[in-house]
Amino acid sequence: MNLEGSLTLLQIAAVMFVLLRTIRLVQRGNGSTAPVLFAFAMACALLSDFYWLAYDILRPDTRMPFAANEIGEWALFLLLGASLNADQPEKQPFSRKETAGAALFAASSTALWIGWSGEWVQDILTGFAFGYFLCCAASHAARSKAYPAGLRRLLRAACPVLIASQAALFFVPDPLKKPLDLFCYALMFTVMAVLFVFAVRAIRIGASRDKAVSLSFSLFAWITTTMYMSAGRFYDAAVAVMSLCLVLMLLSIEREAVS
Amino acid sequence: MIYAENILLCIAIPLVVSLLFLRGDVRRFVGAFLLGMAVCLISAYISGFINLTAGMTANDAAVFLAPVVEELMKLFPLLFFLVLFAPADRTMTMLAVAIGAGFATFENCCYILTNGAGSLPYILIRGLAVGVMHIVSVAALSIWLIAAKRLGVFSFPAVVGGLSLAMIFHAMYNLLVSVGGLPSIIGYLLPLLTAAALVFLYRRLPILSLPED
Repeated sequence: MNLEGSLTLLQIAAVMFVLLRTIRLVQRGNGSTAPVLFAFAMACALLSDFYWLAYDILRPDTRMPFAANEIGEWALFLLLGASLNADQPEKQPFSRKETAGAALFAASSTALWIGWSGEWVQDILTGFAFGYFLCCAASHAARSKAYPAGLRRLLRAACPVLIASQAALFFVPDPLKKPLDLFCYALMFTVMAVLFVFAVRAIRIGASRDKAVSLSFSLFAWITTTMYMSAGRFYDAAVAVMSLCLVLMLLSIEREAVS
Repeated sequence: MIYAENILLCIAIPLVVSLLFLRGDVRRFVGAFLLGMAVCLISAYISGFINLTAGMTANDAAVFLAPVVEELMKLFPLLFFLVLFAPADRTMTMLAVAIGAGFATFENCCYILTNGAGSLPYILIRGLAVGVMHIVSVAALSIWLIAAKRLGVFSFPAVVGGLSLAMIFHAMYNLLVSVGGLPSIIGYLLPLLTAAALVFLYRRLPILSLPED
């Protein structure tokens, strides 16, 4: 089995662990619907990963056409978004500024995916689902005041710079492509590392439950962005971090359910 | 080439007439069974249309496209029943199983008419694998929807989640049996094993257990 297959196996193990722990949390039942939606999301992630692994083994080195696991990914984004909204008071609307920023980022990312793959329908639908999740995550972060000022500034700067740099890759002359590509990877992995540290710290020092959830889900969103914009070893590295991120999300959800 | 519409009519007419003499759950079951057969025919039309317009190979269409279209089409009547009539959980599962059984029966009829029924072992594999797979996927979907309803999270994301699970399960079966050798054996066993797991889950998890009459 190649490295990608091994990493998918690692992710399957992580998702299975998270799913079983979340089911136990749901069975204990404190009336919160967030863990239920999170468990549903993990069930979708588990089956999508199994399908991906089966495809990788049975048809190696062939590009997967539109398949059922993509709908699993859409469901994953929608369910994670819904789980972020689940326990919010009904009167609290989406935070407008953050939601607009997240929607813009999702739309720009979708345009880039279409530019790379040429698969319009599939990418637009994925963009809608991912955009919904990003809007929920950004709005949740704003409501819970999860980001310290420094992190907020970093994200506000990193998102447009990343999109602009990735878009520039279509137009710059060949000698500039490699350094620009490396810059994009450096930016994505730096922000990922910063978010990872903040999420771990929020869980370890016992920050408020909303803050922990917000930071771990934001990390998930950023890793997903990175995965969709990476190839080769960089993609593999993002998949490996994703497995850890899922455990962080579980820890934050557990905290939310207990309190 | 077979005339699928004619086959559907031939099988459906006696069942439609039998509806006049039936009442209660049996009538609902036969009605949903008929609906399952009609859904199978419509799915074949849609898959064929997308296959032609997208220019996919027949094999790719069967492996990747058919699960998406077929499970989506099976969801619609189920969702229609659930939203409009709010049936009891037990009725909902029965309707789902009937839709799956109708779908599988019609698909098997068309398959046998196209490829012949000479090989009994292959026919048995076909019945136990594809037949069970269609029932398991739609039954699992109905259990998912019931669980979502009971846990208070019945919403668009939850429906898409359940649909995606049914699609991936179906697609996994199609992918495995498309290769041959050990993967296809695993593929043929997959529906039976999943059916067993589903029954086990049904009994173990209180949230899924259905009330008796």
